[in-house]
Parts: sequence; C-alpha cells; structure tokens
Amino acid sequence: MTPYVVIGNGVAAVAAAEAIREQGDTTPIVILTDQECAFYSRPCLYYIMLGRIEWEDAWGRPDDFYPRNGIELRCSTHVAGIDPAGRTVEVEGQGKLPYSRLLVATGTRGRVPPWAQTPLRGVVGLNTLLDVAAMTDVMSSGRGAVVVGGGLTSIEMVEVCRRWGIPTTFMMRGERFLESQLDGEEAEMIHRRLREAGVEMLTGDEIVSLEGQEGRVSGAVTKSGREIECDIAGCAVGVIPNKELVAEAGGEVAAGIVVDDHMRTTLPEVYAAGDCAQVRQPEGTAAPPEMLWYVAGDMGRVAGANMAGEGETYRRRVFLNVSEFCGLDFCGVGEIRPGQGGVEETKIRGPKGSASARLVTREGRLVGACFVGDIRLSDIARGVIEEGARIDELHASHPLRLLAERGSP
Amino acid sequence: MQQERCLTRPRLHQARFDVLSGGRLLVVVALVVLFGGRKLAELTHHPLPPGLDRYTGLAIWWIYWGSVVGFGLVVMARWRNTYFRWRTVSAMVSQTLFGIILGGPLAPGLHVPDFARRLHLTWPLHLSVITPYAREHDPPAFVYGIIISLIAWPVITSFLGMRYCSWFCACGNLAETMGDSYRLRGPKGPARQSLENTGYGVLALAAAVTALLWMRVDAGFRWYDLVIAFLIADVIGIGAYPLLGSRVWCRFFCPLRATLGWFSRRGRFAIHTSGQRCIECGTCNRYCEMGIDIRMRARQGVALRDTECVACGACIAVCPRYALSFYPFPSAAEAVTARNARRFRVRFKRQLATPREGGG
Repeated sequence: MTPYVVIGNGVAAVAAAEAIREQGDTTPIVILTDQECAFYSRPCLYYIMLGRIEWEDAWGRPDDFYPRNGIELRCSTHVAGIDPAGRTVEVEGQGKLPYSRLLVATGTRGRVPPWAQTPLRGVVGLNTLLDVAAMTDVMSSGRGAVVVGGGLTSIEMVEVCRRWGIPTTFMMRGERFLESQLDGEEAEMIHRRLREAGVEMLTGDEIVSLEGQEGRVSGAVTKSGREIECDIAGCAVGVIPNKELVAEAGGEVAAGIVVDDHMRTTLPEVYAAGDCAQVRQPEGTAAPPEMLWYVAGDMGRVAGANMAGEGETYRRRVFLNVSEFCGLDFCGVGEIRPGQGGVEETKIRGPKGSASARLVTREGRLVGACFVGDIRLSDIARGVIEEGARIDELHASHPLRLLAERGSP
Repeated sequence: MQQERCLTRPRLHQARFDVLSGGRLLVVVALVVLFGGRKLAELTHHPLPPGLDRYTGLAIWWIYWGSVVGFGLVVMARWRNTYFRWRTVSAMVSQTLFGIILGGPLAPGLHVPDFARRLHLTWPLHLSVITPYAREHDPPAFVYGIIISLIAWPVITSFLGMRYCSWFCACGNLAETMGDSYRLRGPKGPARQSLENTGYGVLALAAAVTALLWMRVDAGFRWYDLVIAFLIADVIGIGAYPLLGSRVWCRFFCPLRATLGWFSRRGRFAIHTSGQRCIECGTCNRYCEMGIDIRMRARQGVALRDTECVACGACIAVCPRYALSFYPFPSAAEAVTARNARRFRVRFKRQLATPREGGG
C-alpha cells in the first residue's frame, strides 16, 4: 500500500498521524524529518533551561508510540523536493518515495540575521533540543549576555540568563516588547520588572556585528554605536515558515503555505498544517499564521482526519496565549493587537502597577482582552468572546462587566 | 544571587546533600528500623525489655509527628500556594490531634476515652474497625466506624476527590510533608500504571480477612497484619521513599485508596484542563507522585478523573500555563451568564508556586 508521507515531526505531524489512526485508517505512515529524535515539546525548552524539568520530560509520547501506531520515523532525513504529478517526494540520499497523500508540517526556522552568521561560540537560540545543549554549554561559563528580539522566545532567553546569574542586556529593534500583543503601558510594566531584576533594556537598537576572541563571542557593536561586552549572544528575531518545498512544487504560498479549511494546499493530495501553514479565509485573504502550540495541534488533527477521508473542517479557536514574564503573568485573548481600527479599548490598572487589563470591544461586543499581572478573568473573557456577547448585556455582577466599569475608555 | 543560580541550574537533582535531605533520610531509616526491630522482637518471641519497648513505641509516634509538622513547615515555605498551605495545615492538625493527642502517646495521660482514640480509623486501611471484637467491645465505635468508612468518606470523596489521602490520612500526611521532595521519583509510564490495580487485590484480601474474622478465624488477620500492614505498608512503604517516591504504598497497595478511587472517579471531582493552554511540557507528569499521565488529558482538553489522583494539587501548582484547575473552565455560555465571580475567582489565585528545587 502506498504510504501517507508526513514531512516534519512536530506537534502538527504527530497530531495528524494520531488522527489518521483514530479514523481507523491503517495505511502505513512515513514521517520524514530533519530532527534527530522523536517528537518533543518545543515550548518546554525554556523550562528545561530553567531547570524546572529535565529534558527526558520533554518527550511528548510514550517510547513505543511510533511502532505501535505503524509509523515509520526517519530522523535526520532531508527532503529535497516534491513531485506532485508523480506523487513522490525526493529524499536526499534515499531516492524517490511514493506517497498516496502527503502532509507538509515543516514548521518554521529561526531567522538568522547577518550578525549571527558567525562561527563564534556563544551565539545561541532556543528553538530545538540541540539549542538547549548549546545554550547549557555556554551558560555555565557565561559572564555577560545580550539577547536580541522582541518576542516570547527572546524574553524566555533573558529569563534564563537572569536565572543563571548572568548580567543581561535585552535589545529589541522596536519600541517595546511584544509589540503585536501589548500596548505601551503593558509593555512598560514588563520593562520595569526586567529593569528591577537587573536586566538592561535597549529599545530601538540592533546588533551590527559581533566581536570574537579565541573563537568565542567577546562583544557586540550596536547600530547606535554602543559596544557591549558579552560572551553570549541570544538571537530570537522571529521565525520563517518553511514553505519552500510547496512553493517549488508550484503550490500557492503567502507568508506560509496557503491551505483551505480542510488543510489542503493547492497541490493535489498535498496537505499542510502547523506553523508553516496559513488558512485561507472565506473572503479570500489568508489569515496570518498563528504560531501557537494548540493551533498547530488543531491543524494537524484536521489534516489527519481529512487525509484519512473524513471531511473535517478547521475551525479557528479564539486566540489565547498564556505566558509569564519575570513573575508577571500574561494572558492575551482574542484580537488584542494594539492600534487596530474600529475598536474601543478600556484600560484598567491594578494597584501599584502590578496588574493591568485591556478590554477590546467592537460595537459593544468583546473581541479581545489582554491581562498582565492578574489573569484570573482570562477564561471568562474567552467564553464571552466566543459567545460574541455585548459587555453591557452581561449581568450586573458579572466579573467582566464590573471590570469594564472600573476602567476608563 | 549565587544561591539562586545554583538552585535553578538544570539537572540539579544530582548528588546534593543538605541538612533537610539528610534529615529526611534519617527519618526514613529511623522509622524502618524502629518498626522492623519491634516486629522482629515480637515475631521471634524475644520481647524487648519493658523500658525499651515503651521508648521505641513512643519514638515512632514522636518521630512521625515531628517529621509531619517539621517538614510540613518546609513544604509551606517551599510551595507558596493557598491549596498547599491548607492541605499541609490539615495534615499537621490531624496528625497532632489523632496521631498524638487522641490516638497516640498523650492519650493515656489525658484519659482519652476509647471511642475518641479510634475516631480516625477507617476500614479497609484499618481492619480493626469492622471486627466482631469491636462490635462486642464498643458498639458505638463500631457503628461510627462503619458510617465513616463506608458512607462518609466515599461521599466526601465523590465531591472533593481523595482529600482523605492528601489532607487526612497518616500515610498520606507523611508522604506529602516528609516525602514531598521524593515526589519526583515516583515510577512513571504505562508499564508502571498497569500495575496500579493491585490495590483492588489487596482490597479483596482485606475483605476476605474481615469475613474470616467474623467466622472467628484469626489466622488470616495475623498474616495480613504481617505481610500487608507491616512489611508492605510500613517497611516498603516508608523505606522505599528515596527510591520509588513517597506514594508506593498508596499507589500500588492501599485498599482504602483503591476503594475511594472508585468513588473519586465516578464522583464530581476532576482536574479540569484547557487544551488551549497546554504546551505539553510535562511538568505536571514530573511532579505527579502517583505517576498519572496528566499531560495526555491536558493536551486533549479533557477532565482528569483517575482513580489514582489524591488531589495533592501539585500539577495545578506547577503548570506554567495555568492549564489545570480543580474548577471547570467556563464554557462560552457559562462565561456569559456567570453571575457570581467567586466561582471563578479561586482558580488562578496564585498557583504560581514555583517549588524551589533541589534537596533530593
């Protein structure tokens, strides 16, 4: 029987394989991945670095997951190309592999800016288990660190450096941290926390080049002309979806691989899911890829069900992102991008700047809520957003209504 | 700074020795030696001299109590978490009240009536509750024992989960206080989980022994007392703390855990999960002393209703993304009609207890 071929071994790939088996489909599955090992959780790399868990805890499935489910896992395998007409994938060094259906779940790769393309030791990321090994290696001898980036991975690296007792500089190109989700005041709360923890904040700046000594990073020169002494340079300046395989085969791509709500690409019998995919909306435009763990899992499940012949539709859940920065909890729900048009924002500040909430409404209906410091109402907000309820229609003692009445628009 | 750096370094459970972990080991060894020595003397018909007999007996009580209270304070300092605080207070209070004052070494001096001494005993963990001897000797205690064992705790369990095991039980109190640092060592994985039903075997054995007692056959009781109560519960149960975690007895053998687990699973109690929050990091599984695969439920977003869950609350406290809760995550409709914020307010009251690591 011609197997289903899955490229990638992340949460989308594994969820798809599970969904295929759940449908009772026993077609063999071949997973081709350039990863060196079985499936593991990526977001937990941070917690491994913090020492909260061991790397053994990161394995996402039991040891016998692949053989028990009739999945052939080929690690450290590079796929050179897809031939949609011949229904084969070209595997480097292994020739052509025919498929009956193909899932592209290649995920993303970290963006590597020119300054980070250096053979010097000390340039680290936090995207793979190998990065954890590399980071642990340089951490123990670290005397100073610069972390560049404005997103979640970068603050995780800052937190790791801080917890390892290494003086850290946090540098971002933009004006504030997590610009796509936090507004000025919320970001300032986090900046202040970081500063209090001894992290030096540099906004609106970027590294131009690194200096090295004896094969190890010894300093960084910034655009504004500053020179920073450091022997660790953390790089987390965003990710790029791995869409090339589909693009080269003639499939439609935008920021990521464009798929319909059945996770089908424009190529026949080729599906895509996970961080590399973006779903075409009914209006025709493709929603930007939401690079969240549960989204990739959802997409993988839908792709798997459809590959097994079950007509399942992907339904986007209300965006929900939980994290913790420097002891400050953060939870963003729904549409919280600051500065979006056609919405009203109500801001509520907690005592002493320890907590803040921002409720985003469109025509009276709650569409987004951003909580920093106190995230207890985040799940109620998610429910209200899902229901599409108006805030003023909520019961007078509803916690969200009370919260909204406390704030000033 | 240096200390923090040391505490948060990965792989920090390796050879670390400090006063607390030394004390823990000392307690384990002392309890096993005392239990074992006394039993050996009894079995070999070489009774200990009266003084030694008395003092070793007292030592067991006081070491047990002291480690629950002492290490309980350590647990409260380490897990700054509301649920942990109340659970540990409950452990200390019940150990003081039932273990020392009512049922322990202070009881004779305080002239505690026999009835009060047996208040905390629960069948089938304590077989002496339901015996013909108990019925003849103290009928009110016998009736009370039946009610508490077969009605009260099952009902409480089906609403609140196995709080008996984490808030009240003497074995559980020791496991959650002195044994807290051994919680990471519980065996994990499907193979180990498949052994967990042995508790029902012990339950059957306990029922059989009780039936034999009513038929006036004592031999079964004596063997059960030696093999199950002494060898497995006391010697292996406590002695294996540093090797297999603090809940070996509870997880694989305790007949009461098996009984209450049946009710817990079918009752209202559950650990609710949110698939949207879970990042499959496995922190919950790591801290679960009963070896439950919590991560699997969390990623699917289904409630956890395992017979093994003793409601210790560790998974909820350590989850970095607040994906777990004793309270249901509100559905869309519930979130809109929630008239009472109280129900939801409790959920995220800082579970941000990051247990300080180390001190194996």
